[in-house]
Amino acid sequence: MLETRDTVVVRGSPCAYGGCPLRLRRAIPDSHRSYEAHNSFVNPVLRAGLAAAALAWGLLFTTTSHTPYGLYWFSLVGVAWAFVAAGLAAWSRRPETSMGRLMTVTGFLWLIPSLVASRTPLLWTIGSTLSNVGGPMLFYLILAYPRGVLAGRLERIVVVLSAIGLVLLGNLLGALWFDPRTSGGCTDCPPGINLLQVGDVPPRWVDLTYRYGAVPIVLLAFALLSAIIIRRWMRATRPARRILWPVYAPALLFGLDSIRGVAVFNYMQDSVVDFGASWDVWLAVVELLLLPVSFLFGLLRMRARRARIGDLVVELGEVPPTAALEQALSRALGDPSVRVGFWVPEQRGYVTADGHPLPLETEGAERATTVLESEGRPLAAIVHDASLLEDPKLVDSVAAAARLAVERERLAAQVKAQLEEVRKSRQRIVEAADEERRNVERDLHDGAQQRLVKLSTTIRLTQARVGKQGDPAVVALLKEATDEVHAAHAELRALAQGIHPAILTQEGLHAAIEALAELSPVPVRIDAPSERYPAAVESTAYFVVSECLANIARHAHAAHAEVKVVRENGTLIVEVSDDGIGGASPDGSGLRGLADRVAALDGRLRVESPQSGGTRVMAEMRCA
Amino acid sequence: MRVIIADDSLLLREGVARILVEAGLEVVGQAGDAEELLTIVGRERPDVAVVDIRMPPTFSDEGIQAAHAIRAAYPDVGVLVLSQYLQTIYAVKLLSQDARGLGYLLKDRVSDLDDFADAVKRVSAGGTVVDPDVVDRLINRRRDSDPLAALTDRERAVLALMAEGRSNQAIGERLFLSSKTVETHVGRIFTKLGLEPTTDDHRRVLAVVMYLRATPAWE
Repeated sequence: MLETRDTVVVRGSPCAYGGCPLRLRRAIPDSHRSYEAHNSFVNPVLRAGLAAAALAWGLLFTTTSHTPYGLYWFSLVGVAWAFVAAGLAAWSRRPETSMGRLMTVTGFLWLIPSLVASRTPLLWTIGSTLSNVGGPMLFYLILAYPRGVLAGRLERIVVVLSAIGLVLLGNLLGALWFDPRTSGGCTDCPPGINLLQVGDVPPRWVDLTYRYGAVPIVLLAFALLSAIIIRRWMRATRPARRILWPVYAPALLFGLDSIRGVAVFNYMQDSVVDFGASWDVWLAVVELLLLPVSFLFGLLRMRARRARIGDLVVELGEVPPTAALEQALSRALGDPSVRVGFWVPEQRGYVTADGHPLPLETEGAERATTVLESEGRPLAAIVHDASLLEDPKLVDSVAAAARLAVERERLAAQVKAQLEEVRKSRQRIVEAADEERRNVERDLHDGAQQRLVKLSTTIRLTQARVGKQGDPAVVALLKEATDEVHAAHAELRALAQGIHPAILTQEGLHAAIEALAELSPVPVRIDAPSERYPAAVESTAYFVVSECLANIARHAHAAHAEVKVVRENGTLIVEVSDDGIGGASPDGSGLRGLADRVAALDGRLRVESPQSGGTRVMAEMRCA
Repeated sequence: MRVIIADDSLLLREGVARILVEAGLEVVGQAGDAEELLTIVGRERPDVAVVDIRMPPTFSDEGIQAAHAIRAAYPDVGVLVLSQYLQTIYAVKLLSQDARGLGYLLKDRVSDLDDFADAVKRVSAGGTVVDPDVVDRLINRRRDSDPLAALTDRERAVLALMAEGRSNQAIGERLFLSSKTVETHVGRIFTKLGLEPTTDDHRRVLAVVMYLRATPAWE
C-alpha cells in the first residue's frame, strides 16, 4: 500500500442502502492507485477483446439462424449488446465498482439463448436449459446498484428466488422432458440434441410445479424487487436519490410490468410468446433495453459531478467568508446537509465555523465523515451524506480542492477562538478593576471619611471646652483646624466619588447621571430610563458620560449638553452631545481609555466632532 | 431632649454622642443597625433618632427605610438622617411621602454644634431639614432659561432657606428681616415659580425641592 504524505481517511457509516458494517477506508487522493497502475495496460485490451467477442457472437447468430431484425432479435441480441456495451463503458469509467463487469457478464449470459441456433447437442442444451439465466442476473444488477454488491439478506433471498423460479423450475425442470423436434418446432434438429432429456411426456406434477410453484415464485421475486426499490427510494436522502432514480424508475417499471406480464402469460393464456406487434411485448423489450442504458447513465452521473469540482477549486481559491465553505462544498457535492468542522487542538475536537463543536457521525445509516489530514495531523472533518461514498473519487477531489481553503478556514477559526478568549479576559480585567474601585470607595467611606468626621467633632468639643473666652491664639488655631478638616473631608468625598460613585451602585445609571449634571457648568438635559443594567455596563456607561461632560466643561465652550441613554436589542447606546466648538480628537487619552473600556464589553465608541461645531460621542455596548 | 443614635461605626456613634451631650441633649441609646434601632426606639420612645443612611446589611439606604418605618410606627419621633453623600436624590427619597419630622444632613455638619443641635430640635418639633450644601446643589444647577433668574438676590436667599426647611421666623432671623417681610417674599417666590402656596413648612420644602430637581436644564 502506497503511503503518501497527504492522505484522506474516510470513515464510513453503515451503508446508505442497508446494513453494511462500519468500515475504514484509506484512500490515496492522487489517482496513483496501485492496482490501477498495475492493470492500466491489461484492462483496455481485455475490454476490446470482450467487445469484439460479443459483436462476433451476435453477428454469427444473426447470420446463421437467419433471424430477421425484428422484435425477437432485439430482445436477444439487442439487449445483450446493450448490456455488453454499457457494461464495458461503465467498467472503464468506474472501475472501482463491479457494476460494469457484472453488466458485461449479464450481456454475455443474455446471449446464451442464441445457442439454440446451433446443432451441436452440448451448445444447444446449454442454450435451451439456461435460457433464463439472464433474469437472475438482472435482479442482481438492480439490487446491487450502484456499488455492485448486495447489501442484505433480503436482497440475496430475492435473487435466489428469481434464480429458482426462472432457471431451476422454469427452465431446467421443463427441459428434462422437452424434445425440440416435437414440441419446439425445430425441423432440422438431430435426435438427442437435448442432452438432458429423460422422457417424452412430462408427468403431471411437472406442470403443476410449474404453474403453482415456479410462476408464483417468480411473481413473488418481482413483487419483492419492486417493494425493495420503493422502500429504498422512500428512505433515501436527496443526494442518494440523485444516484438512484435513473435506475430505479425503469427498474420499477420493469418489475411491475413483469408481474403483469408473467401473470397474464401463464394464467390467462396458453400460447407461446408471439413476437408480433402486441404492445406488451414491445414494452418489455423497451424496458430491457432501457436498463443497461440507465445503469450507465446513473454511474456516469457521478462523474458529471466531478466537473463541478473545477468550479469549486476556483471558488475556493478566492477567499470565501468562513461559513461559505460549507455552502460551496454542499453545492459541489449536491448534499445540502454538509457540515465542516476544523480541528482545534485546544478543544481536542472539530469546531464549526461559528465556534460550536461538530459531532462526528459514527452511528446511523445516513451520514458519513471524511477526515482530512495533513502530515498525520488532523485538519478538518466533513460530515456528509453516506451515499456520497459511492463515488470515492468525488470525495477525494473535493477534499483536495478544499484542503487549501480548509487550512485557511482552520486558521480563521483558531483566530476567532483566540479573539473570543481575549475578549473574555479583557472583560474580566475591567470587571476586576471596577470591583477594586468599589472596594476602595467603601474603604474610604467607612475608614478615612469617618475618621475625619470624628476628628472634627473632637476639635469641636475642644473648642467648646476652650470657649469664647479662651486664649485667642488657641481659638484661632482650633478654627483653622476645623476648617482644614472640613476641607479635607470635602476633598476626600469628591475623591471617593471620582473613584466610584456609590450612587451608581445604589440608585442606578439615571440617578448617577443626574448627579453629574448637577455639577456641570453647562446645562445638561437627560433622557435615560430608570432601568438597572449589569454592573460592568452601568459603570462603563457612567464613565463615558462622566468623561464626556468633563471634556465639555473643559474644552467645548458649549451652551447646552445632552445625554441620551437607550437600550435596543440587547445593546445599550449612550450618547453625549453638545453644541460647542467641535474638533475633538478621538485619540485623546481620556477618550482612548473610554474606547478600550467600551470595547471590552464588545462595544465601540464613535466620536463625531466636525470643525464646524458640535460634538457627539456615541458608545454602544452589549447589554445582555 | 432624648436622642437615639444609629450608625454601624462605633467611632462615629461616640463622636455624635459627645457632640449631642455638649449641646445639652441626652443620648438614651445607641444602635448598630436598623433592626436594633427600631427595637430601641420602640423601647425608649426618644424625641429624635439620628440615623446613618448607610447601614448593614446592604449598605445602601437602610437609614431612609428605617426613617420611614419609625415615622409610620412612632409619629412623635423625629428622624435625622446623616449621610456622607452629597446627593440630592437621597433628600428627595427621604422626603418623598411625608416630610414632617424628617431631615437629611451631611455628616460633617455634625461638628457644627449649633447647626446640628438646631437641626435636631427642628426635626423633633415636626419640621423638615435639608442640608444647606444639598440645597446649594439644587439651586445652582445650571439651567438654560433659568426660572430662578426671575428672582431677586434676596428672594433667592429666601428660597434657599425655604428649601432647607426653615420656618419664616427662622428665615427672618437669618436674613435680619421681619417675618412679615419674609412672608411677602415667600408669596412672590411662589408666584414667580408658579408653585401652589402652602403654609406648612414641611410641605413647602418638598414642593421647592421637587421643583428644583424637576426643572429641566434646557428645552
